[in-house]
Amino acid sequence: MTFTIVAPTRRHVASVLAIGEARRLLLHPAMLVGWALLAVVIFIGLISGNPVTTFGTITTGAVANPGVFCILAAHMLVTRDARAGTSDMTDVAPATRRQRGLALLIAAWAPALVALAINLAAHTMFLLTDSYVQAPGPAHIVQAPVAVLGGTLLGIMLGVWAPARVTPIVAMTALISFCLVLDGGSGGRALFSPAQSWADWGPGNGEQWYALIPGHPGAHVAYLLGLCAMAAAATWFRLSARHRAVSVALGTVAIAIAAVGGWAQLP
Amino acid sequence: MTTIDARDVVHTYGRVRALDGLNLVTDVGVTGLLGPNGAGKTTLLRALATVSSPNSGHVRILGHDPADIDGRLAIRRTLGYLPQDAGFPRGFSAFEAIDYLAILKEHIRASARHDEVRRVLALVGLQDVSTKKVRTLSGGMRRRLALAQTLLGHPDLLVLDEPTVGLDPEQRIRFREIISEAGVGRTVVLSTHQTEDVAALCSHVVVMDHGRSVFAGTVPELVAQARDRVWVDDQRDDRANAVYRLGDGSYHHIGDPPAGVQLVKPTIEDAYLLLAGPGSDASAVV
Repeated sequence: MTFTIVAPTRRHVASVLAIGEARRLLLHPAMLVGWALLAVVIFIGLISGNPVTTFGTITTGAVANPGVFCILAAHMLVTRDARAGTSDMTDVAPATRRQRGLALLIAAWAPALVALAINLAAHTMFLLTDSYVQAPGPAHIVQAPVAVLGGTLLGIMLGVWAPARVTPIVAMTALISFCLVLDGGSGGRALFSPAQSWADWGPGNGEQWYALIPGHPGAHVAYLLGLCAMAAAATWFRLSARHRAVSVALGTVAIAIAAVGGWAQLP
Repeated sequence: MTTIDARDVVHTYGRVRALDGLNLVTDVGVTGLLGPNGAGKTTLLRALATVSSPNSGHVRILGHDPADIDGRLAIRRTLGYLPQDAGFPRGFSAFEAIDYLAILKEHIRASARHDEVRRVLALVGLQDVSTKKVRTLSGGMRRRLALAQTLLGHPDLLVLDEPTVGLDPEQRIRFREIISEAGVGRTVVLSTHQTEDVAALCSHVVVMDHGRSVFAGTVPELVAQARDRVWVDDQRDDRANAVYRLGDGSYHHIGDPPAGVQLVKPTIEDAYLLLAGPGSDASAVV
């Protein structure tokens, strides 16, 4: 019998763990549904011949799919060990709850990066097929992946604070309702929605290109990043009793970024 | 060095004193905990595995204080723990489940970690199902999978809560082989209701009842507790602590024998029932 002595090291536990968690997050059944729906949305954008739809595919396509599904998938990832009865084994492992939480916060970037890659690929296709009247700028392209990051971080935060199974469903419903209410608003209120298309449908009801909604896309991305950082700070506050001051400071900065970004995005 | 030194340990759940001034000292070798349901075995093992902290008492494990953060980490780095109700995410493969726990046990380098995962899966005889999802494994296979994760990294201390539950006789023999190998040069503490497992495996045995240790010693010393207190008779004598009918129609009695009865050689089960069974010496004290 061959025995392999494995020298334990505390370094890099979170990063090694994050790789596995990122893979599990990307391939979670809820996420696979989201990725499939995103592919359908992009295909529709490609064949529709409608520049309003095409523009909206880039700015909001990934927000709904897989962005909303990220909440469910991330929540299930966080609560997985407790649901499976693995907690007693994981809790006595040398890797701390904080390291596991950090791994999840790192893994949360994976769906956002994949969404960014898909968005860039779709954008390239739309450029090559001359589908735009007005091409989206960098902030337009980045905002949906940032919203995906926000959905994942929100799911992680909810999993840490409210592990009940119903929580992500309630959150997804609330978020969709929130977006719908804001979309129906006026005076720039709609810009506070994470699903902002920027393409104005105009009097022709989207049959032809009309204009971009007034506002500042870069500041909108900053606003979304502020919300992401708020979720991360709330998660870290719960996981790391030793670093509560850091969490509070990060949360304060996050609120400030969200507030300034939210104000600056307005026309 | 004494591996576990626990003195006057008290652990309460509300008004229930699950551990009521328990004392336990163990060294290298296999120690078996016997006791009825509710005796406090699982509470004790959870405390030894640093899952929970007792309300009071002195506990040292491998020379470390589990109440101290650094001490707890030092214990966890050399601990293998099998909980009573161990489960794994159903969507994980057997390999993935052990690999996940190996990362949490700070096995960082992928190639060495994967070798280690394959080693422990082979030890419990699951190498051929390593790619199968946990949800497709039988209950016995899942129990062996849970046992496999305790063996990661050759821990100095193994804490096993009812490890043989759900195992068929062949698997139990395999388990005994694994544990007896693991018990060479390191400490194994296991709880079980199977007295034959204790007789086969343990160099040291502790009988618990009502949160206390009512016996601590070797298996022969435990069996000796029942010497001259086990008899067989054609008539049932309800004054005995425990009575059961044998296949030949006679009755097996454990307790204080009346004069003139046929005494028989006691087993570890007789001794256990005498100490912690219904109408036992311990329950009479309590």
